[in-house]
Amino acid sequence: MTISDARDDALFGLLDAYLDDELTATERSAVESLLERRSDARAELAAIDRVRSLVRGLPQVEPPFGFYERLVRSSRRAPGMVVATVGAVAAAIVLILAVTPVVDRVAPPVDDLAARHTMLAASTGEMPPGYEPMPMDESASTDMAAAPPTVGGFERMAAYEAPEGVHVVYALGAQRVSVFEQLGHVDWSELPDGGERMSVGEQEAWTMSVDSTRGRPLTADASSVTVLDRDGMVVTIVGDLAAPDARSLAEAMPMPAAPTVVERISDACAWVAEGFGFP
Amino acid sequence: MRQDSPADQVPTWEQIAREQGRFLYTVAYRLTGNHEDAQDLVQEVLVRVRRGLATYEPGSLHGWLGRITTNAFLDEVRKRKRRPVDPLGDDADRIVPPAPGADDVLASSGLPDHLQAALRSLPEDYRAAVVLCDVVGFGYREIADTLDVPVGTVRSRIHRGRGLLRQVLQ
Repeated sequence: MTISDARDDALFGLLDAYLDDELTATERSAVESLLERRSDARAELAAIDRVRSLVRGLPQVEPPFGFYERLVRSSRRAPGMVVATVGAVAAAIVLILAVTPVVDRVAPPVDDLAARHTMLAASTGEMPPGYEPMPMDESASTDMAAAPPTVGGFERMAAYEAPEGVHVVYALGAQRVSVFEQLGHVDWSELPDGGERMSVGEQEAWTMSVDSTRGRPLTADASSVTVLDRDGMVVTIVGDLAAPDARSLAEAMPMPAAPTVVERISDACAWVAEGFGFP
Repeated sequence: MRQDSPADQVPTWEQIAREQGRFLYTVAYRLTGNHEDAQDLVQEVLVRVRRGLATYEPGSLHGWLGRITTNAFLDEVRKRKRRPVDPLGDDADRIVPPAPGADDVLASSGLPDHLQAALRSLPEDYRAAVVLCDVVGFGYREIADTLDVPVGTVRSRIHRGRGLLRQVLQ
């Protein structure tokens, strides 16, 4: 190999940096001279550029359903989590090991949710107390919307932070459906009389409609309520839906990721910290 | 992919989770190559973000988050290397699904999966450099500062990383 060949080999190693505009003026000039002289250098540059463009063109990746919502809610419940005392952490770990999973039992306020659905479905701009709209445009934070953009043919229309969780309104033509999400497992015994237990896939669920409530109307726009227990996330679907349609929509709802050990420890820390009276 | 917050604002932890969530998750997924590890990584990153907000100096939020994410990823890689079980792996010769050539891949509808598999087959140091350059949008100096290596090493890792990607894709 001649000195000139060795120099050219070294310049081949600079082709990536040349494309990235990361060379000094002297280096750039040398690389450009190489490109003028050698067709294999030009082919190499083109090949590097193709791979570089492929990686740069990779799409953004959506986090799983409800992922950030769970993290943020977890954080709100444990404002001092990161600086939790050793005692609280130790107690939390004992809890994790002894009483897993540590999650709240919740009963969605069915009648109240139906009323909130009616208010939002009317699209008057009025919001239930304690509601905050969540950004929906691409430039802001659709990644925080806990529900998918479309589900069962319905398109996500609006999302709100509600006192208990997240309230997402979907639309299909003039039809509106609300999906509420809150952390925890369903306390089935606290749900109103008149509903019936069922399963959706392998998950437990509960449904109540005008027909099955012996004339107990929910609201004008909410003729059925379906509650799903999805591995630590309670999903309540409210809308003017016939029972089979409500079931189809429930089946189409994606599963949230199961809580990880970190999340469970975080929840337990919050629980223990609250018990110790930490803020 | 750069999109920095106004220079004079210090975001809250929740703002970062809300507004940068997709960016964080994308970087984490490109580094780890699977959703399970990406979720764990993002959780760790947000813990570090919360801890570091007190010292955060308004400026390039993506740069700050990219650094934290990459360092958390490499810390986890080092931890896993100390343990025998290593689902992430770091073997450049890892068997990846058969992939078409780079030009075919470009025209293929399954491009991201093939490319992600190829990316995942890179040694972590090369992968981190390529992701910081081509996904986060860092310059070589920023990558060098993030990885705590000389700029010449960054050049070399990006050159070799892209070269390996080409080999895997061919």
